[in-house]
Amino acid sequence: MDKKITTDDQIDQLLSQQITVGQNFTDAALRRVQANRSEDLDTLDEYLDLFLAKNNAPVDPQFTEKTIKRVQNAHKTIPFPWALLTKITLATAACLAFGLFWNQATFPDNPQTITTQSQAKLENSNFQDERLIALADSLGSEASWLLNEDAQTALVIALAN
Amino acid sequence: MTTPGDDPLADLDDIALMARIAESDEAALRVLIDRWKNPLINFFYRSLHSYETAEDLSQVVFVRVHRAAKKYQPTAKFSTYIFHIARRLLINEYRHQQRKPLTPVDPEDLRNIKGPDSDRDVREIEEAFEQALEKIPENQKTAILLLKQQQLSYQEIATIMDASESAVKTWIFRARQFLKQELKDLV
Repeated sequence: MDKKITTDDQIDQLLSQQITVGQNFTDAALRRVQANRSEDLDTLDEYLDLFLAKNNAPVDPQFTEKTIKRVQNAHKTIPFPWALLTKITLATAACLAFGLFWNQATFPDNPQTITTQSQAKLENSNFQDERLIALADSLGSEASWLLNEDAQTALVIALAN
Repeated sequence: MTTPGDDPLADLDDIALMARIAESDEAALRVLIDRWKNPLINFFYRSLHSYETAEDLSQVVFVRVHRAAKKYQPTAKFSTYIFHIARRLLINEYRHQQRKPLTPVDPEDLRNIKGPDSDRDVREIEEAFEQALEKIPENQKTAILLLKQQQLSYQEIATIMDASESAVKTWIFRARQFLKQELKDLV
């Protein structure tokens, strides 16, 4: 810009021109957009109604026959509740897995630990109760698997004595 | 295909046909299928964009209608009843499709529904419309299709969709706004 703007008046004038031009442009553009849009929307509404109402998907001439056959087959075969069966199986498997985990955590495999724990329990509890020993005697070693490990230990002690 | 003049059953309304179907009248079932196959197939086709699935689901609707015929109570219009079944199947299908990868639409399948007189511009807009329709949430799409394609009332649509009339109106308004927005550059 070769001409220097020096006074406040000149700056104001320039700003005001820009504002005037900008405002005119915006108003004109808005009017145009609104005019076009309302026209477009009317046409769009028509297109939408046309497309939405369209009911011309091809229908197989054999559709009715095929459907009758399918209905008859469905009537013959009572659907087996596979979904329910699957849920029951999964629930059972989950219970078994939890049971095994709990058993493993509570009763470790190490026989030494079992013996030590059981001995400790026997010393501090009433596992040496004569009734239990009598029961163990009467059951014999064949039935020992029916008892928990505390009772098994009591049984072993009873048999040993 | 039967016409009202050929077959006395064709003159019966849907509720009377259902009573006959409950007594294992196959001819009545045939008339009911003939009467409703077009609306159902078109409804499913517009919603799912697959003719095979649309046909399959329409058949399942009739299987269910047949199975339930003995217990059927005409408490609402038959259209409400049959589209209620259709909509439940549609939701199941959407869930099923969400669990498996999407299959691309066969262009041949798209072309099949165009009339021979469709010009290129309309075809282009319609393809864009199909794509836009696919993006709309299920409740909005079902509501606008039941209104415009099946010509059902707001009240019927609300019953079918287990929703209030105002909710249905909102869904339809949003669907329309979305479709307009998607197509505004094409028209």
